[in-house]
Amino acid sequence: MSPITLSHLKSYEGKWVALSDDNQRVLGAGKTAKAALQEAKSKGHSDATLMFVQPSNLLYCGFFE
Amino acid sequence: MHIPYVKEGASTDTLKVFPDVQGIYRPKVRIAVEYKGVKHKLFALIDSGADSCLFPRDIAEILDIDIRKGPSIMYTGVGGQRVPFYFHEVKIFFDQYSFKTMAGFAYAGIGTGGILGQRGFFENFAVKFDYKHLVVEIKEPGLVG
Repeated sequence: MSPITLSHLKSYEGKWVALSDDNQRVLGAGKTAKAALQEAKSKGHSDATLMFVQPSNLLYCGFFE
Repeated sequence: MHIPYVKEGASTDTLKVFPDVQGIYRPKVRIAVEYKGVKHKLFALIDSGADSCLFPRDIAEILDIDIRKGPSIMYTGVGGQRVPFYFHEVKIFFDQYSFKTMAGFAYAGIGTGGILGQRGFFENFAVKFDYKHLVVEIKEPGLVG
């Protein structure tokens, strides 16, 4: 089974994106999840999947905001 | 069921330490979270080190959750800083399953879009991480052989 590759999201690092069901199309993006959803909705996509695009220069090991 | 890992970008710093990496592979799955009839889909990280399911402020906002109206618990992670999470009952949908749980919402970001932890997720499923094959095997409790 191949991993889900999200290399096309590099320009969205640190932002929220609203993705299509096949994960390949960015239907909306923004600094907040709400903004990403709103953009997707404005394009007629009301059922997009949100993802926070983690910055590639920050590896994850538990939150520490 | 078998769920593939998600491959995300690796930085030049990461490549200096792990020159063989093709990317950062994380066990993220598509779920939906519902609160009082409002439901949204998102990718969340399966995190066996998290004590419960946790979400950032952004997710509370789109679910119309008034974060600070819920009871709070202090959490800590790497760095040792204490962060309050405010708990609200949500329904989480995963594949053909759904379950209610008390999920914590931070008043800030948490570094990822959502965390599926021990209470809520691991108490409902048996999870086997297979990084070698970049697959997470998820079964109902008691079915892992």
